[in-house]
Formats: sequence, C-alpha cells, structure tokens
Amino acid sequence: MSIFFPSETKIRFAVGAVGLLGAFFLPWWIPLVCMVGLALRYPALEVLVIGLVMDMLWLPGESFELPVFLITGIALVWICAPLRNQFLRP
Amino acid sequence: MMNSYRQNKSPHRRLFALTALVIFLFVVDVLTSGSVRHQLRGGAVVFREWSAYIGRGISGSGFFSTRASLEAQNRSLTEELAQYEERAGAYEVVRSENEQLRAFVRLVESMSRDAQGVTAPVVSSVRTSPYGTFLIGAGEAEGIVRGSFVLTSGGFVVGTVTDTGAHTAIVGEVFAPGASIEAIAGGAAFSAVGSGGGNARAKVPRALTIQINEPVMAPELGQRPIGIVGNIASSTASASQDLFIVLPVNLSSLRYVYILPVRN
Repeated sequence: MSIFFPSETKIRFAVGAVGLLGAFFLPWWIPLVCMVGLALRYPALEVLVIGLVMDMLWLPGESFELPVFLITGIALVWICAPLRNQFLRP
Repeated sequence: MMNSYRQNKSPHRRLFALTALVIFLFVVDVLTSGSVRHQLRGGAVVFREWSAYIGRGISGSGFFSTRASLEAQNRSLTEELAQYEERAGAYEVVRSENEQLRAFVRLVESMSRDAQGVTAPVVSSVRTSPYGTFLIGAGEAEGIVRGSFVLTSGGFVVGTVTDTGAHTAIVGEVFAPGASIEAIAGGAAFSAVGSGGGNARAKVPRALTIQINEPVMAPELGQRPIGIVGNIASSTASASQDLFIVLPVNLSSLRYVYILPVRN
C-alpha cells in the first residue's frame, strides 16, 4: 500500500490523532470535524475519547455544565452506527 | 481484504462498554471535584511546553524552508551574519517578553499593597476551547483560587478563574460566547452579552450619548474595566442602539496575565 493510497486503518489512525491533538492545540472545530468524519465512516471508539478529552480540558468547572462534546460524541457514535451498517458494510 | 474493524462480531458491545466507561470517568471526575481533569490539564501544559520546544528546534534548523530559499540564504549570508541574526532574534524575543513583564510590574505598582497577585503564563490558545475558557500555568500552589480576577497588563479584566489544579487553572472569559455581564459605560448600566474572542454587544436606549473608545466597567468585577466601546450602530427607526464592546488587546496574543486574589 503506497503512501498515496493509505489503508483505511491508517486514515482512521491519522484522523483520530489529529482530533486528539487538536483537542489540546487546534481550534475546537477541528476535533469536531474529526469526530463527525470518524463516526460517519468507522465504528470509531476514539470519537468518545476525543469528546471526553475536550470536555475535561475546557469545561469551566465552576458549576455543572453540560459536557457538549461528550454528548455529541455519544450521539454521533450511536446514531451513525445504523447508517454505517446500512451503507458501508461490504 | 476485510477491514479488521468489520471482522468484529460484537462492535456494539465494545461501543457500549466504552460509552459506559467515558460516562463513568466523567461522573467520577465531577464527584471528585475534577481529579481526572486536573491531571489531564497538567499533562496538557507539559505537552505544550515540549511541543513548543520541539517546534522552535525544527523551525530553527530550517527543516521546513524551501530549497530555493535555503540556496538563496546560503549564497547571500555568511555564517557570521547568520550568527548575529540569530542573536538579534533571540534578543527580540527576550525584549518583547521583558516589555510585557515590565507592564505587569507597572500594574502591580499601581495597585494597593494588599491587592498583590500573581503573574501567570497563558498556556493555551483561546481559540482551542469551545466554552470560552483558556488555561494558565499557575494554580493552587501559587495561591490562585476560584473567582480570582484575571487582568491584562493594561488592567482590563479578561476573565475569572473558574477551576484550579495544583499548577494549572482554567479561566472563564468575561466575554465568553453567550455569557452575560452587567456593565456600565457613559453613566448608563446595561447587560452585555459576550460573543467570544474578547468581543461583546449590548443594547442601550438611543437617547444615551456614549462615545466610541469609552471604557466599559463591570460593577461585579470591582468596577474594573472589561473593554472599550468599539463601535455603535444606531438607526432612527429604532429606539435602541447596539454597542459593540471590544477588549483593546488581542486575546490570542496574550502571553501573560495577572491574577488578582479574590479577597480584593
């Protein structure tokens, strides 16, 4: 497999890594795009991890606030599962 | 060849287990007053310091320079000149850092003796957080407590400390998206709604005369300035006018902030 046509596993790893590092360094919408992209294409468990890291790092913490990214991650992973099964299963 | 992920017979079971695990971790974090998140933020600070160090090393080595520019540089510059340039660059970095810290010294001197705080580095970009927060590299060990005011070198309040770890703290911006704060400008009180990035807007009666660049104070932050009036939009058809409030410094360029203890 050449570097120009990477395997799905490599793409998934790369997008997951960008999403996870993006939670620390990049604008917040980049991890969100990675989460949506991963959830649409793969049964990606890392979507939940990215969501959890985003909320743990950046929630203000002075009172209970909704962990928006974690909830989005859970919703994406579970809502996209039937879509993936329907359209992406060989 | 089938993807290894698709060979799994029970992906839903694994997904369910991880969903339960992340919810459990979040609940444990909330119940233990942020024990997990403080560790994560401490790691983020170390991670950022390392990446900045590596980034400086890579950019200093010229690895990402184009071949053409490297050739041009090789032709035009002698080794001695490059050395001087490097020194001059390093001097500029130190000089700008020194200027910022000098500004904080002036700020500290202008405050009363019992209102002395801590200068802390900003260790995250304000664009990274979706909640209008940023991370600073000082925490409980440096005497920072929840509710402390966070000031720029010009004395403008940019936020308050909302959560503290041992050596890190999270600052909630005054003008976080959707955040509302009571403010005063030109003798009139109004409610300003933040839109992120050090900007806010407010609606005031059109009869009020408010000038551009007029300072905006916040009574709940000890009558300290939180911004200036950047623009005013009014229409003869409307009974109110829109005030656009801005912080006079670019939040993204803040490298240090001054933390004022909450007792003041």
